[in-house]
Amino acid sequence: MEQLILDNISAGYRDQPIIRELSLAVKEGEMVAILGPSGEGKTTILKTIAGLLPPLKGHIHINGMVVNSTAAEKRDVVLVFQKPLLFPFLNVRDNIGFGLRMQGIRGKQAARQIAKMVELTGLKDLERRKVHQLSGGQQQRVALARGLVLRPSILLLDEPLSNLDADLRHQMRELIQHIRQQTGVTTLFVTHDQSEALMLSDRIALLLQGSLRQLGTPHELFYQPQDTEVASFFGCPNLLKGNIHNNIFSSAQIHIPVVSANRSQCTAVIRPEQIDLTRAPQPKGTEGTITSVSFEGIYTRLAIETASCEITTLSNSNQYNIGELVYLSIPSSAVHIIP
Amino acid sequence: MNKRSVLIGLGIIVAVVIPFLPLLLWSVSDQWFYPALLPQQFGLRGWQYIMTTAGQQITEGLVQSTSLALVTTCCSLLVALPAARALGLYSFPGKKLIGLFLLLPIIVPPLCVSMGYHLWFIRIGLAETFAGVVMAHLTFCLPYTIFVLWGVFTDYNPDFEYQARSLGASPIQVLINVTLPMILPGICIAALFSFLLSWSQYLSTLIIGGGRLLTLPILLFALMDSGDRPVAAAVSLVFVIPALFALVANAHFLGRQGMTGVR
Repeated sequence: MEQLILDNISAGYRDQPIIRELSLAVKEGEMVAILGPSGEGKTTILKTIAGLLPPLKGHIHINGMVVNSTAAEKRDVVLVFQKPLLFPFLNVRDNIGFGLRMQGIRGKQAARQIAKMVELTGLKDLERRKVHQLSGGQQQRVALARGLVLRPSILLLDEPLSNLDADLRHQMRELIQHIRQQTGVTTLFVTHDQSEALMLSDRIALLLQGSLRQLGTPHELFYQPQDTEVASFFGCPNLLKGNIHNNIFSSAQIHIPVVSANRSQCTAVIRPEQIDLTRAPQPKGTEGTITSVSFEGIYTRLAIETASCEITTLSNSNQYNIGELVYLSIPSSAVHIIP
Repeated sequence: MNKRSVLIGLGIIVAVVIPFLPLLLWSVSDQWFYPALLPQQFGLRGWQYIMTTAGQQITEGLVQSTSLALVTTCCSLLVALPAARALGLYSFPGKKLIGLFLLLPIIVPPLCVSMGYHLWFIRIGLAETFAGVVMAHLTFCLPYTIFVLWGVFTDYNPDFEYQARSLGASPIQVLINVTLPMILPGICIAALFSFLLSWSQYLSTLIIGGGRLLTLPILLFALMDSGDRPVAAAVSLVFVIPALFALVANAHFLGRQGMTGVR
């Protein structure tokens, strides 16, 4: 069942829509990422869903009810901001219990719920701490616990991992996945970081220029981008214009077998990490010269100048040098055709 | 104790405590003539006078001054909080001009302001009333209160309030449970400013109150005029002690709390 439906939502400030006509349905228990570049108003959507900003247009349905005129505190939704925003005048325990106290839940019931959340988020022994005595990662966990303790139908997370360094990111990611397993809470989160979206979500809604560009599983968005902008957003620099004839995609002297109808004009998106690279001449390979080498850890990024175009590859060998002659072979699996 | 804190301690004694010494000595002297360094004869005549003969007047003055200062402080906080929030959080045309206008009561001599007020207050029936004096005091207190709170709200992050709303707090609950605790240190400082300013108002109280409202400063001036120095010194001390108490209590409270509410 759809727990959250955004029906043609426009959102923003003072009649200047930052988000235009966004429609999205999130199923119960699902984790959906809204992905888009910074400054695209992703936080605005969350604030609109949470009731902190009125939508300029459209309807928001939560659990089958239109909630446009429901006050923020009465919506069955909790928004966890990017900054932890812990109340500095309360200790960890009282921060987690804040929402319960506002609802008039006190005493044993509150204590039980708080204890459960403390356990779930691994904050044991920190309950009496002051907020400023916590590390960044701990603060983030308190913020999460403070939202989850209210058992909302829908949890909204604003860039849950982006403020954290690599190690904490990993921990936080595990925690979010653990929480999902334990509580099954429907989660909608926004991020500008494609890797965050790819690893956390069941589905991704990609926002570009304020409107929904593509909605699908992480796999679909990564390997089957709908257009060249989506492909570029996911870090695919190889966009070759060409044509398809008899199941062969051709762009100058590059020919790749594909399964597709004939097209006089189309674009092939070629994932750089799937291109095979050899020094020895290949019968069906394309000859090229390496023009730049940049070491990126697991992969080395190589720019290769062929007779007709420049192709970027990611190689796991770091033995290549600028000016070297190499042969590229592009397997069909690396190619996605955009009409 | 290191050298630095010794120096700071000495500085405080020289700047704050020593100026009060002559006052203290005057209040307990019976005879003190030039060129003696210390009073020739000690006695409690000054204190006796204000405890017995002028006792009732002084008590009334204390009550009057305290109630005036408290009411003025509450009013100025009520007006200044929303104003400072708007000035601190939003940008709008004319903001700088408002800042300038707020400085006017401080720049223009209090005598002019009070005389002007007096004329108007006579017409609208506010002259020689408690409310009229409160309004005159507000003129001098509000700029300080607003400026202090303006600074507090400039560093204030309203997302805390949004977060609280999303956690199920109604707007009133947000105000009580989030906004006020967050800016409490700022409110304390602003309230202290306002209280002390109202407490020490003489001219405006005299002109608008027209002698009907006998506050401590008015009694003090009357006694000073009489030339009885021990009595004037004793009254001065009575005048200073509540203000000093407010200051110390505030400093103690702030020292514990700190400005944690702002980002």
